[in-house]
Amino acid sequence: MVITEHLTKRYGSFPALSDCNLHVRSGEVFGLLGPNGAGKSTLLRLLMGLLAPTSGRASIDGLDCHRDRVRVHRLVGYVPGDARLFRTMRGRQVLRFFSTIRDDGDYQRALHIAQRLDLDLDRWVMLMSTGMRQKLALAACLASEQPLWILDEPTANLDPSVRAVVLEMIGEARRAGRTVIFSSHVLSEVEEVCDRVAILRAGQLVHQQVLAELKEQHRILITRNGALPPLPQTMETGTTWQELDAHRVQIDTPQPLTNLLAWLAAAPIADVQIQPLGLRAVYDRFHGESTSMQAVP
Amino acid sequence: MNRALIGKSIYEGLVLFIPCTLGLFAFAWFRVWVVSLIDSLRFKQIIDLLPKEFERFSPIEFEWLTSFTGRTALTLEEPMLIVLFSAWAVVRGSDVVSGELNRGTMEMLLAQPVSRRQVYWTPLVTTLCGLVALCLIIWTAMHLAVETSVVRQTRYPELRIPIWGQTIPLTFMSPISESSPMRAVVSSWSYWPGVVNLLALGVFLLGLTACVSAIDRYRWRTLGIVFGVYFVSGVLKLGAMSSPLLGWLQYLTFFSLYDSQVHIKLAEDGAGHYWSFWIAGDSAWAGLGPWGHNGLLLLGGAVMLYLGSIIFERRDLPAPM
Repeated sequence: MVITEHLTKRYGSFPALSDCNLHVRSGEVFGLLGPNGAGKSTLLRLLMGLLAPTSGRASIDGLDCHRDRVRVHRLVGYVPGDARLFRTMRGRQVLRFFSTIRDDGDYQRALHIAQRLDLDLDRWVMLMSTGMRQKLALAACLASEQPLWILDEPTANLDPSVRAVVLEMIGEARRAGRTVIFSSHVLSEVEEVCDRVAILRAGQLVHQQVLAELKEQHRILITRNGALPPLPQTMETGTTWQELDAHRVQIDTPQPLTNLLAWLAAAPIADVQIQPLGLRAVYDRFHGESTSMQAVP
Repeated sequence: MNRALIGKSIYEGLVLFIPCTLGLFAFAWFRVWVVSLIDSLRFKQIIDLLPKEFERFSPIEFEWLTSFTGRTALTLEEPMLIVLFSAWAVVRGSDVVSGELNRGTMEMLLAQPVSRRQVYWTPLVTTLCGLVALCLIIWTAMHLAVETSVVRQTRYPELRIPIWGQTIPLTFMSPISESSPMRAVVSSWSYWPGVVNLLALGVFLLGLTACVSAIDRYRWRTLGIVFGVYFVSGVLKLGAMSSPLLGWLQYLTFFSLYDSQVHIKLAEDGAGHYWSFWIAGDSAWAGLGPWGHNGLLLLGGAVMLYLGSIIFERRDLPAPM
């Protein structure tokens, strides 16, 4: 559905996005993670044809995102990170405008979404809070039957109950066969709705993670009494080992735990904690304070 | 063009269009009505007191300005009318790109299946229609003022010599004061050339503003640049008129192409000069003709509108600030 090939955007000498290769499959909910300035919004704006790539290309359903942007926009419902709407209109007028501007616009559906998001449509946009404007943008842009949703931090500024409704809508979109690309800073909600995530750092795509695979991985936190023996060979593939301090070691592994239990029993250990490896652990590998991760010794 | 975009540009434009309409209608009507209150003879006496050097600040001889047509034609040269009319072109033109970018609404707009060309041209076509409407309103106000006003004219008794067929004013006698409808001395149709020249000026300003707006991302800066150019051009025109030594300044200002009084005078003279692009010979009007002025203003405006469209089509859309 969405393909980027060596997609690069530079502002002068500053690389906002470098050599990004991505393939989002149809029907997938795809998360984009990274701190501010990592290049998430630049990537989404390149997909929307709002920016011209410096090099490389992006396509949606075989259409070039920049050259064929009008045809691309027929396939996409896009909610920007900071949704600004026409200040001199009321909420209802905004919904009517967006349902008229598209051939496939559906005013009744937009009203229904607004009702679900508990939005007062009689209020002037200029008198709406940031969260209300965000809800209005969601209702305005997601009312049509587009096969792809691109949502740039759609839950930012929303209260927890509305946030849950938005995540529910993303789930419904997945069940309806839509593709969703979704950027967020809230790891828990990405973990909740996404099938796959990409992590960006300083304009580079540094990691892609299938979340189902993540659920099979574990983190083992060991407080040792003495030197630990080397891990068994069966555990080595994909396992990382990190010395937290003189006594504590953290091991992240995708291997079945049965291979590890015998090793743990023989090791000089004062304490051990085993937990499923969450998205936080993967994210911290690239953006955490300590990134002194190393392969198994 | 997209129906939603047309509706939006009309809705947003009305906030400015209504006050501009009321202001221009009231001003044009009032200005012509005031002319009807002052007797031409008295006005001529005032004008005659002015030093002859003052005539170079007028593109037309003072003699014509003392007529009712000349004095009412001055309405189209009034700074208040020109500024109010220009405000419509500049304020709406600046909104096209940098206005939407400044407010952050462009991103939502361009995420819809509409081309940038549609987003650019729809409000501009609406603004052009607004310019035509404002010109019609100005003319209508002047026409209504002419139709409803009464003028008092003072003249000296005349002696008609039967065989020669000549009349001689008897200036030693007391003047006679006569009232007549203003329409008997002025034809409101004679204003059309001036109004067309004003429209051409509006198109030029709209093109200039739209082009700057297409490059810029802040509306306040677009307005600053355009009004800066506007006032510098005005000063250059004054400079060019003030002294023959500074006459070359006229080539640096687009206001040299706005000469509504001359257009009205040439159309009234009926010598065919009004339709000229270029007036040859060594008459007082030699040089660029009225349609040369209008043509250059319209062409300049069209070129800048098109240039703005190309720039907007190719530029990156910055994220909202």
